[in-house]
Amino acid sequence: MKRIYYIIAIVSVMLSACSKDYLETSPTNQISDQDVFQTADGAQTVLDGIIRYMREYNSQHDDFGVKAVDLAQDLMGEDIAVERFHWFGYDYRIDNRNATYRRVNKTWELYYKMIYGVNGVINNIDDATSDNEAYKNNLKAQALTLRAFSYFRLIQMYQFTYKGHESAPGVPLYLEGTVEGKPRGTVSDVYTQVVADLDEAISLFQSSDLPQRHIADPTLNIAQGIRARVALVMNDWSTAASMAQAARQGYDIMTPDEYAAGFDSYAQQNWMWGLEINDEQSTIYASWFSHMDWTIGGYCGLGYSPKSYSLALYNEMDDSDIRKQLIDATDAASGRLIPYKFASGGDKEFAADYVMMRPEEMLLIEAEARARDGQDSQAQTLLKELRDSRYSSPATVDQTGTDLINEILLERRIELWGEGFRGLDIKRLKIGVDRTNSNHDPVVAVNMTMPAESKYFIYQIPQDEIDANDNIGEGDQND
Amino acid sequence: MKKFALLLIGIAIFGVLMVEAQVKSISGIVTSSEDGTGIPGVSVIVKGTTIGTVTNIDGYYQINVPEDAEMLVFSFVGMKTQELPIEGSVVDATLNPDVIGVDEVMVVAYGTAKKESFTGSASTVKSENLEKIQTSSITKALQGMSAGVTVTSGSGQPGANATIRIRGISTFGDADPLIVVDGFPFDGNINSITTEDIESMTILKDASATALYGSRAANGVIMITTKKGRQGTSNFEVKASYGFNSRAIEEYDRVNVPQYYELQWEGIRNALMAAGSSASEAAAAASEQLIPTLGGYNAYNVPNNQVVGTNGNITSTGQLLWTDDWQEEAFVNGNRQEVTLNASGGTEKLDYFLSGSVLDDEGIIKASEFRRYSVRANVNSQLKDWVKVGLNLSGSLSRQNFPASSGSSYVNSFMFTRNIAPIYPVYLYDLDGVLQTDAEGNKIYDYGNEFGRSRAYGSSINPLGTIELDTRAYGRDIFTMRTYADFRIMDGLNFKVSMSADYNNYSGLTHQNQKYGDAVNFQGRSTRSTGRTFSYTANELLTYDKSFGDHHVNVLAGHENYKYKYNWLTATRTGFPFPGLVELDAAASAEGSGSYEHNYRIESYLAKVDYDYKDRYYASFNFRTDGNSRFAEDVRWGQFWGAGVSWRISEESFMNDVAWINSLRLKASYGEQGSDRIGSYYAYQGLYETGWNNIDYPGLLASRLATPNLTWEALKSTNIGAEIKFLDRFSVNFEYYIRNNEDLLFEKPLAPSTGFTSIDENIAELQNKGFEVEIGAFLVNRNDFKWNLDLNLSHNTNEIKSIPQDFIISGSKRWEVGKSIYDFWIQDYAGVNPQNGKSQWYYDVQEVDGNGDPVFDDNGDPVLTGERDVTEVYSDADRYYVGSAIPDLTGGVINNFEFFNFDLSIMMNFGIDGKVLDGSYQGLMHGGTYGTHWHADILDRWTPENANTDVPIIDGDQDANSRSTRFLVDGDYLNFRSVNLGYTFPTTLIERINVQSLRLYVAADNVMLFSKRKGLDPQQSLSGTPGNQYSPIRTIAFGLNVKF
Repeated sequence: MKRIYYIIAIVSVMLSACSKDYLETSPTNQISDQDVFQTADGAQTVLDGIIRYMREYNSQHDDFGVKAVDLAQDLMGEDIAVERFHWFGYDYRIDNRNATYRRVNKTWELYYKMIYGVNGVINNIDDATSDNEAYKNNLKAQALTLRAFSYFRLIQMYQFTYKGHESAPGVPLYLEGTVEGKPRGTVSDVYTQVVADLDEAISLFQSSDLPQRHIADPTLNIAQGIRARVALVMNDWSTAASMAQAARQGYDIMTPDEYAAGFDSYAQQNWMWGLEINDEQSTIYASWFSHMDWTIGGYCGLGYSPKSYSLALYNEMDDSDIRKQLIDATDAASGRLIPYKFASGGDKEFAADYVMMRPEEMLLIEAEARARDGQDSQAQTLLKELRDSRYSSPATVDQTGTDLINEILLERRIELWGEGFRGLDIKRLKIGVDRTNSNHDPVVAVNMTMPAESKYFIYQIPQDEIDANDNIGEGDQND
Repeated sequence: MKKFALLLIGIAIFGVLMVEAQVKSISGIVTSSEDGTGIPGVSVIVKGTTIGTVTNIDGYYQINVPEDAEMLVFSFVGMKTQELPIEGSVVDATLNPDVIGVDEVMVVAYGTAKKESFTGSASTVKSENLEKIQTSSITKALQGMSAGVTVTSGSGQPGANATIRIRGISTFGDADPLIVVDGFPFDGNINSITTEDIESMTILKDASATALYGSRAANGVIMITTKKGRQGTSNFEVKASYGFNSRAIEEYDRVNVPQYYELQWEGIRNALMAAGSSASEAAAAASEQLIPTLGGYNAYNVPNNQVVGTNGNITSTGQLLWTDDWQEEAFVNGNRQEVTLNASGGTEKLDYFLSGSVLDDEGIIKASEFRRYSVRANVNSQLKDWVKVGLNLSGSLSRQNFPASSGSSYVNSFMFTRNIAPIYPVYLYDLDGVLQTDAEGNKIYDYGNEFGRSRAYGSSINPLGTIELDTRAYGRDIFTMRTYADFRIMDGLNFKVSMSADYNNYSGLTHQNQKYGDAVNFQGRSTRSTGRTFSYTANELLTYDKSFGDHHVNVLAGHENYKYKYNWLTATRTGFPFPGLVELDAAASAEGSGSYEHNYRIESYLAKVDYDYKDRYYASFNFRTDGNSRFAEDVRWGQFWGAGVSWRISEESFMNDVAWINSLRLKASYGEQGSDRIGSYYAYQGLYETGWNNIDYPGLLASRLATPNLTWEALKSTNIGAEIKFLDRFSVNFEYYIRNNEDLLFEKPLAPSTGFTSIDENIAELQNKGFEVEIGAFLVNRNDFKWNLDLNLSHNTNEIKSIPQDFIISGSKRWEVGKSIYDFWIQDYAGVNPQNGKSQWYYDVQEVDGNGDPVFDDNGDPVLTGERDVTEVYSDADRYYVGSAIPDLTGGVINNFEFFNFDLSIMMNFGIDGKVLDGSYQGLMHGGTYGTHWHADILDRWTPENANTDVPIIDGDQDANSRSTRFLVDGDYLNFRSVNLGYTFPTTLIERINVQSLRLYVAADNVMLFSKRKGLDPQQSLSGTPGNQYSPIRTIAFGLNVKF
């Protein structure tokens, strides 16, 4: 009798065991990497994810993707005067470049994360299911454009400019996903890859010939535009001029009214490439407009870190210039010049779009390239074309040679103020920074001058990279 | 579930067929040796069987025992167990009080154990001590209560839980112990459990004790057992207390208004001089710029440029226009009220415990509150001879209002009121200093942006204003069930099926108002979130308990499965037209929404064998195998075990003559457990994350690299211990342990250029070694005066045994083999350069070659000379190991006095020799950040006249006051955790009104903290980095306990 109880109890314990799939669970908000690239639509989803990532808030309020990097670079120049030490304070002091600093690490991670993503698309798209070959080619071209964009940004920030530094250490190149770190290579290795990616992208765009689906999607014009930027840095004037000219085909120079519209909506202004933002996807305080816009309650507007227009640059401007009229200089005595270029108040507010590329920049690249190539009259015409649509009365452009180049560079500072070009231009042009005789507060700025090609203009390789990458050691570090 | 039902029916049918054996009837009376009265509720059991009964209200019992029964065992909590032979039909017993707990029974994994026979390591916290602490989360009552248990107070917000670590830091990841409530892992929030419902808390610390929890045991286990009715009694009890809360940790010493202006003036002047101005120019400019720089706030009735003259002195004629004190306005003395009712009792066949409680704890800043309503019913019935069933149900509804009180957001009132300069008023004054009021005559908060001003600290923010208009609250509903049916199949053999279910529903609402602060641009913003957790555990256990002569075995075997499901839903809207209407329906535009579900399951088989010989030699073996859904199929199942032995030397015949020793024993254990808390439920899968949408296009972002070999973290632990009880009043327990944590999950750093900064691997190893001493002493034990002292001491050293890189920097710490997880690695302050007032730090001098270029070795690492030099450039400073945040010794002291009818309990805890990086102090020692307050120590800053100081010049240089050993202080502390004084009315007085007992008391919690610096709370953070966080609350309360 007793034995029966034993048996019953033990058998019942056995019986209560669970079925085999009891322990199989999977997430509801993630998808396995094997399933993603099965289809071309899957690859498109990855590209959309990268574009979102380019404008997403990551760790801190000064870390919101590619425009945070642009702002950090811009603040290292002399055209923006910051009233208070706050977010981006060390960038403004031109002292945010050490291997362990957050800016240095987050910037590195941002572009390399993008590169990991686009490499997935580039290497898998050919095998993805789709009956539309043009669609696949277009996606691949977009991915190549973004890869070139990323490497081009990286090499400009983690090393001096191309010219004169061709054989200096570059940044590691990855053409496919791996967990093994690559060596730094050289600057020219990186530029070679960037040029190759852009050339392939341009040819794929031309063969696929699809319309742009969304303002954030890379297109033929954008690939050509980046190619023009690269050529300018490489001092390849003819390519810079021809690519810049090709890039802005189909895009008109903004009218003064459009220029005054606040730079907050791709629909109101004639942009080639922009990152659209809506209410839901706005990063609010951790956003470009929070830090730059005086008309909304962000870090700038609330007074934590007001960004003034440089008094020195302001004094160079023509009084009839719409761009000068957008600056409120009534309080200039106290050093405050309020620029209303970026003005989303009462309009898009924190859902304001980010500008990534516009035809005026292309015009200025072409003008500069032609001037440097000795084609002064074409350059004068281009500069006049831009000034005529900024000044209330027709402009006269009669400078030649170096004077003409300087006029174009001045125009570049004025036209592209605050858009993330000045810091990179300082490196490209091998000039220093002089913030004296302007409205920079030495308590906030600390470094009022910085010599040309100072190590403070370039970031060190992140310490985490050196520690974890077997192919990069302390000896490979930037000074 | 169908299987369960079948099982129950099957067992029941067979149970009915049980044949009763021959019996005889025994009866008797059990009395107390102290006063000779009968004791109700004494358990009377036939030795070696489960046949038993309890005494009635008069101490009388009657029991039918088998013909061959030889011994009766009488046991009662707080009395020494007595065994008496069955001779005749009447067996009377007299029980003696057991002041040192020789016969204590405690709750252990899957059952109970007599403390004397337990081979593992466990500490029990008595409910008498727990009940003396007034807290909204029982976790905070554990501070200093038990050796080997570290409790960091964390946030003082009512309802916030403390962080608990058992025997050191066992992992780089989630080191929280497993919480088990009434035998089952608990998925509610521990703050839902009323202290008054808790019978005991047992902390299981070693392998032998925790092995039966397998892959969830490596961080230790806290077993909470709720109260049950005592047989032979019938009680109704009311407990009520009313108290007042205040801030337990005082504010740092800070400068006053005139000092603040003078110091800022000095900072501006020095900065201008550093930029090239002459002294007189700079002084003049500083006087001009001072008020504009501070945002236009002139607190004096003199012109702006005369507030501080060019001589650097504050105006001698000016009067202060306002004297608002931020902290006086922000902090309130909230009330704390708690009322508990319970009814309990039992008969031979049935016991019950019913309770209900209400708690309202108001916190010390506006709008901060925790309110809880809870009920519990615990009923057990011996349905038949062969089956016992029980059901323990609880429900708790709580609501917490938690204004921001940690982190660097300006709406964190603790940070804001500490850091805002004293020159800024709380309320709005015009430029002439006239207080502004609204139409109803109420004061208006100053948001720092009226009358052309722009406050340099927290512009457009006033947390006092927003705290009233904003909502940060959640409601949590927790329902738990524990139920079982225990079948006696035959003598000694039982089959028990049990089940638990936890339901935890969270509903949170945050609202940012439309008038001021973060959401003004959006006309207000609300986020509603709900999280629903439902989990259940079911197990089927066979136990066999049998004595064979001098041998006794207890065997357990069983199966268990655990299922957890979590659902999250959140939505946000903006555009709220009416203040006060904060639910989403009131708003115009949808901002974002999302939902997800998590599933997590474990299936287990477990077994245990306990053996003892002559109640003298004990051996125990525990085994569990878990299949865990967090891991890939091939590595999903793991085996965990623990084994222990103990020897009661005092039971040996050669010890018979040593009468002064009540008990002496040695024990040892070894075993291997795991921890599956690896931060993800799907850790092995390579994943792309959804939600990275580009406007209307869905987007994915690579979120995780596949790690198919990932498995649980392992613990191999050894414990040895010795315990002695002597002279009927002293006990000393000593334990030594070595815990090797292996296969620790580590984010192995990847070169960030690969696109990922890390990949999870089971590669790191940690070791925790230490000892624990628990001393109990009845120093005085007279009828009219008793003094009981409990002292516990713990020492733990933590050492990193393996990590995947030579070293890894983690904030202010660096991980390296041979160091601990909390070893500070920061810049070493070399004092102020007396010549120029600049801060200096040490750095290692690098060798240079003939050309003056630095030398690197083959690995590309710099070659050092071994010399140290000082630098004024912070980024050139090197970092050094400068001490550990882990105290060498922590402990608790609990004194309980009884004097006539008074009782007094004083509980203290302390820590010795740990380091603390005082970041809040550092924040108050800036080099001239406009608008930020200063610690009074800034008055000792460098000036040409005061050249020998450690405080650098004020000149706007942010680096000068960067993190370094300058802000590292000894974390020694002594905390008077609680003082509780009570008076119990004499029985003779209250009998007339039918009251069994009546106690009135006054209690104070967090009475006083001694630390190296006023304002510093070294207990706040495990890692030695306290921040601007909600201070612990001092509660002073009056209460009464009435028992009918």
